Amino acid sequence: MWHRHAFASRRLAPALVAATLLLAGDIAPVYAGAPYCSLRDPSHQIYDMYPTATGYRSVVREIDNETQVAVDKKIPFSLLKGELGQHTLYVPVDSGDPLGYIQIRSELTEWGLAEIVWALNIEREVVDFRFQRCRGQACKSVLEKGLQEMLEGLDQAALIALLDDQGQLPESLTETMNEDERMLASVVTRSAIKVIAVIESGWSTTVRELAQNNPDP
Amino acid sequence: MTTHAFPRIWTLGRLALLFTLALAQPANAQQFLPDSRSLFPAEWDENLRFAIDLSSRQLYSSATDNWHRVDFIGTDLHKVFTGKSGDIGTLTLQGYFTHIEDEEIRPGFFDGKWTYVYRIFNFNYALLPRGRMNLRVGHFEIPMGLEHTIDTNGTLRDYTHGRNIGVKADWGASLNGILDGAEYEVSITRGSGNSWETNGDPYIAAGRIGTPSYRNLVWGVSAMSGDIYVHNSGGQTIERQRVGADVQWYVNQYGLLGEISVGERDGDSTSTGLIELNRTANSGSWMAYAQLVYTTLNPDDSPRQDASTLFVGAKWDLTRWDFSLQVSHDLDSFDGNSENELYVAQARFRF
Repeated sequence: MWHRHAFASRRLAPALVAATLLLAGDIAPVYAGAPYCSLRDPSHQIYDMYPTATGYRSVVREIDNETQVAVDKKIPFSLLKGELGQHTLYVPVDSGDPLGYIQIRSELTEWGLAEIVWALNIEREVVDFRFQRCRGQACKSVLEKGLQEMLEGLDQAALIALLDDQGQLPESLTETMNEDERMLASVVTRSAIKVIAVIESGWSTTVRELAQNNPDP
Repeated sequence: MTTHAFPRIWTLGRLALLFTLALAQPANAQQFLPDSRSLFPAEWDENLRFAIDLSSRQLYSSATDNWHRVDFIGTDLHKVFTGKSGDIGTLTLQGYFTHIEDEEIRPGFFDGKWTYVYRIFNFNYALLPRGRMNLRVGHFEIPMGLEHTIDTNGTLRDYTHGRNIGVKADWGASLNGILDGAEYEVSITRGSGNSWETNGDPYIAAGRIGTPSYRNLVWGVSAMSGDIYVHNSGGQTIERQRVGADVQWYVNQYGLLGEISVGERDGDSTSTGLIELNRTANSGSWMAYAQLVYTTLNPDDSPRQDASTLFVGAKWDLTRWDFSLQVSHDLDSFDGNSENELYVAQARFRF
């Protein structure tokens, strides 16, 4: 009898756990994401894009539903549910003086998730970007066709103005690109628009603080 | 120092029921459940990530025709200390009450059915500007091979630390950082894994230098030397040395990974190799992999022996939980060991 009970509970416990996880999945308030030991700062890219930086400050904030609504009001496309949760904004500094903002955005591409490391100045204009993870042929070739130069120095309004009604870059701006490169360039441009909106909504205190310390851009 | 008896009442089934009841209250969930911003004092709250991590594994071994279960109840804390001139250091504390009912599969450092297992438990302090050198103190993974850049803690997928070194993570200190076009870590650790043991004076010295781990082509070289503590042996150690190389190549949704190492185990020459092909979904929601791992042992006074195992596995990531499956099949085994097929399933929930 005891053996039968032990056998049954051994089978029952995993089933109960699985049911718990399924039920709990949509109720628990905090999205914990991957184990934190797997978090990696984009240190190489920070010092590559800000060569005078001596260090960077991390500012962790939660991108929640409230931020999602605020972002939706600012830009013509939505944050995905998977983009919610805690994220880090990096503020590169030169001997304590802030130089701008760095943030990583994950974007869906034909070749899987691309991680784009964005560098913005204190006025939230694009300084540069790097692919931290991008696994298609177009990831390299699109850079050789001037995408970084196209986006450099643009603010959110100017970036939105680049896109057509479908959220794509028009052919007039992507004449030298093939179809894959054009698609990726549009993803990257939308990512730039999104990262500015997310930083302004999710890190508004940091944005105000840096703007006050830099009154004459 | 690491073992805690865990009350019998905390069986997995009861825990599952508790969490079901706790979570089935959406109206009060924000108040009822631990929130990273409310569990800690305000001065600790800044740049803090905190999660409760529950998982359970079910294993079936064809060699013994037995089912086994391993349960993990843990916390995962990550905090970045920052100042005007930049980040000062990062604290990572991952500890798990681990339950293994069946004695035959318990690691040597377990004193009973429940043991507190340290995974990553350290502080990484920024010594030099621009990330050039940090000092890590605590419990961390031995810097060697693929595992140095790919974190497999708490997953079924694994690399060769067990076969090569004998422990995956250890107590000690390391210097680590980034250079132009490179990442490195060198460490000196206790050589006894989860617990701090001094009997037999164990130690592990190890290091790896490689190209930046975010690239599509990553490679590195590693070396280790040490006397590794054998639990429940009265202070015996095993002498191990290895040098090795590892590579990762990612194209579209596919990854091709490999590592090889050669060295000695108590004076006998040995080598280990691993090759993995994996595929990740476009959305990142699942990944599947196949690994072939082989080990050779070439004793001075007996014929060479070979062992090889094929692993096939998959992992599904959902919002707060993931589910993994893995089957391993021994193609060849050392003399005296029976060839086995091991089926493992894991459910994991983090919030």
